[in-house]
Amino acid sequence: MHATHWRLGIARPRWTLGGRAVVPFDEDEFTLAVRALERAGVRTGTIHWAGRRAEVADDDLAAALGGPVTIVDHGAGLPAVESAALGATADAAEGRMSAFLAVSAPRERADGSPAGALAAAGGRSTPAGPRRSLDRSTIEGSDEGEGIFRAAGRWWRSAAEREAVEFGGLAEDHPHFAADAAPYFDRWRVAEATATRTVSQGAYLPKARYQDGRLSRWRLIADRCSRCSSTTFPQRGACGRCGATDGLAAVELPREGRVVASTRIAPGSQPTEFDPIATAEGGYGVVLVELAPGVRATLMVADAPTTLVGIGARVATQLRRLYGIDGEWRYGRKAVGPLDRGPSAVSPPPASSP
Amino acid sequence: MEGAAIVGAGHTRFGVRPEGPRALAQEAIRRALASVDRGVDGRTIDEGFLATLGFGGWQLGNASTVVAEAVGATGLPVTRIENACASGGFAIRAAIRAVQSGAELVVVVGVEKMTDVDQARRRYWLGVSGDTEWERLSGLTFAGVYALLASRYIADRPDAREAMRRVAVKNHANGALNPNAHFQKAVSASDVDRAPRVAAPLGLFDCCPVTDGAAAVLVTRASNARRYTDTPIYVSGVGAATDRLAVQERDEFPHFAASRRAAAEAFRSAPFGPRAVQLAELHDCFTIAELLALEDVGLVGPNEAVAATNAGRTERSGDIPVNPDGGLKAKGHPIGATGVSQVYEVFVQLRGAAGARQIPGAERALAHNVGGAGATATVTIFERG
Repeated sequence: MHATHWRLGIARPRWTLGGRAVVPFDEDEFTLAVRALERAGVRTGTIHWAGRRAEVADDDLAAALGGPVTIVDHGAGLPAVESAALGATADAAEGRMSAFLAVSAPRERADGSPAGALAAAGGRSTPAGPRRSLDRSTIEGSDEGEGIFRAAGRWWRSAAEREAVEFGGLAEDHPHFAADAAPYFDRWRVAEATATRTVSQGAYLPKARYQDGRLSRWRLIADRCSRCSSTTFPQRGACGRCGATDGLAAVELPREGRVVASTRIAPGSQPTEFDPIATAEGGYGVVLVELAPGVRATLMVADAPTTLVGIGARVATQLRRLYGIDGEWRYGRKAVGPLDRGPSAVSPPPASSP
Repeated sequence: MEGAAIVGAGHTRFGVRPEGPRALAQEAIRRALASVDRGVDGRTIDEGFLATLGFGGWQLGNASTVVAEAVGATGLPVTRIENACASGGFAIRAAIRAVQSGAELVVVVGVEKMTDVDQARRRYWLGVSGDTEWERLSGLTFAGVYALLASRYIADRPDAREAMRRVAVKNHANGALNPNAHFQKAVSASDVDRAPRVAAPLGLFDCCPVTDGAAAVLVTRASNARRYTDTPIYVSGVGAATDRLAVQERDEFPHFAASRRAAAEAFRSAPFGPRAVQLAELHDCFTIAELLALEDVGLVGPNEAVAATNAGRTERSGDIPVNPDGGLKAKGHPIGATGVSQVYEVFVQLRGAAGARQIPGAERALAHNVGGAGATATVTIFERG
């Protein structure tokens, strides 16, 4: 018998507000799904999607992950996920990469139950014939996945439990607003309802150029020059150092880096596209992050209310909503962290400076 | 190559003006023509350059026609030059090149009308000169880009905050002596410290204001200059450069390679080096920018700007007076006008006509103009004949 390897990815917003779990304004089904799939190591294949899919297109998910994907919608609910998991097991047993994904991202959860996304990816098996049940002996994935499966025989329910144990204890009260959560929720609702109708006054990018920039902005793709070995980011179709237009190879930059410059934009001066987030969060941080020697990216700091990430901090990057325009959301990577302050990105951020 | 000289210069009051851009440009040109010692007929001007961003979009296309109308010379060829906040410096450079190519008398006018644009549009227009695809999409503002540079500069130089505070205090003190300045009021160090942050670490007094105004100068061939005045101001060198638009892509950070390159080019043809400059107009759109510029144009050595500033060397009484007119910080920064306004200040200072803010005996001066956050820059060097 041959084993199926499973990897599990969990994406869960960390804030709670007045005792309620909160999905922040710049997260949605798309960003949470991408993060869970990234953590599960999914780049391509069939993705069995359970939960609200909103307007996430196959094409967008493929661009974010970096490979062709096919989304199979299973609607909402655990039974659908479980049957998808069974199908995925069969796929994997036949050598096909397959992932299943459960996404739940309402803005607030009154019962405190986990909001977020969970992805499990199976693949890299050798043929052993289709399996019709989730025999835990077939699970050899990451420690996390294995632990979850061993904790309880059924992966999704147990994973949710594990998530609640592992992440729930670290969920933080939103420090600026927890005492008076209602106005904050109200601002979110207004912002969400109106954001994509905002008339651009400052950060407008035509849709075609936004689409062209997705590789750089979503996956931090740069060009490496075969002639002079320098890295050009974002991609420009020519080497930024020697000007060569051929011999450029697309490379993925590390998704973590060191902050080399930092600011915090006070509300009132931001491009109007960022009015909702600046108003709701009282301004936001922007950092320059060195992803590789001499290769830098300008990134907004996510979870801005407390996170003024200072120079020297090591940060991760996550796909988030940037702003809404022309009736749709635009996405890009933001800095989260710092990673330096603890073993994981969910450790408490430093106090913000004035 | 034929040299160039400045023979006239005019300046409007900077500030919140009731007039529109056309009237401001006309006023600056009229004053420049009236400043020519031996008089000049505006109709003898044979070339014109207009520096303006077109803030608010009042007349983006064919704005150059207002200059011809103002000069009373319909038909005059005029070219609009737009390189963001360095539009004025690049227009001065274009005028120098024009007289070197045979033009007799060239007018350069820089103008910007900024205060009549509503808040949301103002935010848009203040951002148009930065990189849109990365910097703007990360939520950065114009001040935010300079704040990133300042954060890096401060991290590497512990006394930099004190130097930035001194730049604000100094330039406001100088502006208080300049009847054309937007702000003619001194501020204290504690005023600077107590001001709200705009983009940390930059506070309100680290930032130049939004200002209306215009300035104009008349440029001619060096060999013709004495037809207009006994005290022309000669151009000793001019340099200009560009850099990558987005700060994240630059080789040099936080310094401006464009400023360094422009200064190197300008000094190549000058008969003296940076240490012989007795007066400098440096592009201080934010206090941090003056510190960067001091080093970039070579007035002080690398990493010496903080010490030089904190020792008072850049004050009017110091050995390298910087921005005696108040700089962008206090005089104001009507975008297209700024580079031309700097040359106006050099003109009146080197001719000993700067009144209460006069730097005694100044004979050699430098003007440094930056577009955006260092994407474009010019350096022009002058001496009294």
